[in-house]
Parts: sequence; C-alpha cells; structure tokens
Amino acid sequence: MSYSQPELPKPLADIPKENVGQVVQSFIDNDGVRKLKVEQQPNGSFIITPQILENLDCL
Amino acid sequence: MKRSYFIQTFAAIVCIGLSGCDTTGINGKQLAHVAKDWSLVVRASQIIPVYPLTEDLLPGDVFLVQSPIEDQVKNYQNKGFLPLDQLLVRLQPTNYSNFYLGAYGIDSQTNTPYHWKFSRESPTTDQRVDAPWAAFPSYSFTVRLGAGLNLALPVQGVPVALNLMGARSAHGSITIADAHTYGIDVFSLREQVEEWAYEHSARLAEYAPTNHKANYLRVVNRVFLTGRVNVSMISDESFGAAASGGAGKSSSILSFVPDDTGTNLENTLNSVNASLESAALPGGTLKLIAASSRTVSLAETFPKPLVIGYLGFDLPILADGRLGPSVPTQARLTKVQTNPVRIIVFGEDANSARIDLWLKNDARNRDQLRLWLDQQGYAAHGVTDIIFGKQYADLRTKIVSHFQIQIR
Repeated sequence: MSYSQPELPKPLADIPKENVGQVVQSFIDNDGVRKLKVEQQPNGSFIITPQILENLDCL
Repeated sequence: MKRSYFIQTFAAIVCIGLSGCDTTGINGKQLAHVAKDWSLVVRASQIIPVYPLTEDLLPGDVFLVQSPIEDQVKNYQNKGFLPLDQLLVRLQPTNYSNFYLGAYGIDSQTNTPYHWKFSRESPTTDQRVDAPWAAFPSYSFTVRLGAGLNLALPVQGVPVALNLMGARSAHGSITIADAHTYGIDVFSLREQVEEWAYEHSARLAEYAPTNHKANYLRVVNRVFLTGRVNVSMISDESFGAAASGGAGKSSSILSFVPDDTGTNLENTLNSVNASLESAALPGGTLKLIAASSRTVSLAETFPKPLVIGYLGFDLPILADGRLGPSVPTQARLTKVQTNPVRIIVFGEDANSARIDLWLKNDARNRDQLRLWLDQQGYAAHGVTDIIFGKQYADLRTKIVSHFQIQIR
C-alpha cells in the first residue's frame, strides 16, 4: 500500500482538559508521532504540538 | 536560361519568406522585451508587475492560477510578470474604513476605492488622487534605436526622447512618479474570500488538484499606481570620440537651444511641446521639461492613474472545493518558505468520535484513511488534526459517508 507520510501534524489548540488524553493517543496512533509537547494555554485549555514523527526520529 | 530564371524566382521567394519570418521574430522579441524589461523595473521594487498597465485591477480581485508553481516561477523569470487572465470574481473589501480609520476621504465616500480612481479635476494626477502615496526609486537604463533594445519601456517618452536627440543610443533614468498605493488587510479579505468560496465550493471543486498539480486562487490585496513617468536621457554619441558633438545636429529641433537666451529657450520648449502633443498616444501626454543637444527630459502624464504592480496571496484549491492556507504570491515566486506553522483549533463533533473509534477498531482503517486523504489532496494534513479540528467538520462528514462508518 502506498501513501505519503505526512509532514508533522499541525499543533491542535484550544483542547478541553477532558480531551487531552484522547488527542495525544490519536497523534501517537494515527500520525506516528513519537514526541509531543502539551502546554496549557492562558484560557485554561491545552495546545498539543507534535515534535517528532516515527520515521524522523533518526534525524 | 529557363532554369536560371527558375532559380532566381525561387531564391526571391525564399528571401521574401525568410525576411517575413525574420521580421516577425524580431518584432516578437522586441515586444517580449518591452514586457519583460518594464516588469524587471517594477519587480525591483518588490512588487509583482502588471503588464500591460491597467486601470482595472483592484484589491479583492480573485484570479484562477492553473499552472503549477514550477511553471509559474519559470514564467515569472522568463517573462518578468505573471499573466492574470482568469478573473473569477471581484470581491468588494468591506474593511477599508477600519483599515484606514476613515482617513483619505473614506468616511465621506461610500465607494472606496473607486473615489480614489475618479477624483476631482486637476491638471496634475498627483492632485487628483486622495489615495495614500508611494514612492519609487529611479531606474537607470540604456536604449538603442531599432533592434537590440537593452531596455524597452511601455512609455512613449523613451523613443520620443531618442528621436528628439537624433541619437542612435542613449542612457538615462526613469522615475515612476505620482505613485499611489492602496490595499486591505489579508485577514479581512481572506474571510471574504472564504465566505465566497464556501458558497461556490461546487464550482471550485472543478479545479481540484489532479496528478499532484494544484490550482490556486490568487487574491490581490494591494495595488500600486502611477500617474506620471519621468524620463531623462543623455545621448551616448556625444561622449564618443567619433561623435559629431555639440550642436552638430542641424536637423534636430533642439540643437540651437544652448545658444539661445532664456526667452528663446522658453519659446523653443513651447514649440517642442506643441510638436510632442501630436506625437502623444491616447494613453497619456508628454511634456518636455528640459532639453539640450545632448540631453532631454520628458514627463509623461497618464490621464488616470494606472496600476503597475500588486501584492497578493495564493490559496490552494483542495479536493472538495475548500481552500488551503494562504501563501504570499511573492514568497511562492521567490521560493521563500514564509508559511508559518498553522495551528488547528479544536472543534470536536459527533463524527470525531465515530472516526476515532473506527480507527481504533482496525489498524487497517488507518492505512485506508491515509490513502484516501492523500488522493483527495490532503497529503500534508495530519489525521488527528482532521479528526478533531474545527475546520475539518465538512471533511469528517465525507469520511463517515465514504467509509460508511456506522453511527452508534
């Protein structure tokens, strides 16, 4: 099966606290993200920024 | 004898044919030079040239750009400008008053920017237009009579000045004067574009990417206009050792100027200006500012300000007629990566949970979804962003429909 490996997914912002775990798991499972940054925004919601993709961790 | 006659006739036909082709070729090259050289002058000011100069280009004009970026860069480098041939829509920006805080006569008018284009009567263009000013530097050039132009400009001042001096070659400078600019912020204009695109997504879907070639909407958000072009030229021949020099050109109407008094000079300028009027094209008027046997300065005034360049941004048309992120046109042409990291805003809906569960149920679904997204033009879009991003709500509906994901 051939499909393109996407670039690093874009950061997802304004995530309610109860959805953070779900989004983190999705980045790992569905996008192959190996490392991501979770930060709380001033309004209390969260922003998750993918850092490294599975096939890019050797770089 | 008969054969000789045949050969002569054949040779004559061939010569006529060749000369015809050659003339066409030279004309074509010269015309292309005019476009490119003028565009290079404008490009030097970091704006995208318009050719030919036009009055009819406004912020809010949306063009369809069908050639891929590689071809556009090639065209831009070869021709010097980007042809704007398919105008899809002219949006009327609604944010002028906020953008300029009501200044430049906006608050007393209802048709910005049109009142800037058709302002009060005045003998000079600069006093006719209330739009914000702009200034361009002077550009130097060399020019040669006939073929092999080193620089050609779509202003009549250059060939007229060349003829007035009776020179075959000259160097000089050109100043884009009485320049104005007006525009609108990208954010407000982009909102209008997206609103329009949403209403016309079915039509835009016709321009969906195929074979990795994307189509773009090019949105003009700022234009630059000029009302006058000043041309100053110095004859090269007066500097050469073999030049006739001084007042040697008896046929030139300017040759006797240096020897005349101030009154005679004024009379002469008036006389020359009268002859220039007959040489002027409908597009503008020429006025002689100063002249000697070696130099001539002309001002060409356009009856209305003409757009010489613009700034804009490009929006890729995605598979379903939606629009991708904006990229400044200039950045695309110069291959500068200025697109900042975008942030997707969280906006979960019922389809998010359905797709998320569907993906967890079977690992093969991820491959299927990824492949389908690639085919739909979403290769660079992360799956998580699509599942939870607010802007992907419509796409999630399509995913649920396409993969027949059961509603639980």
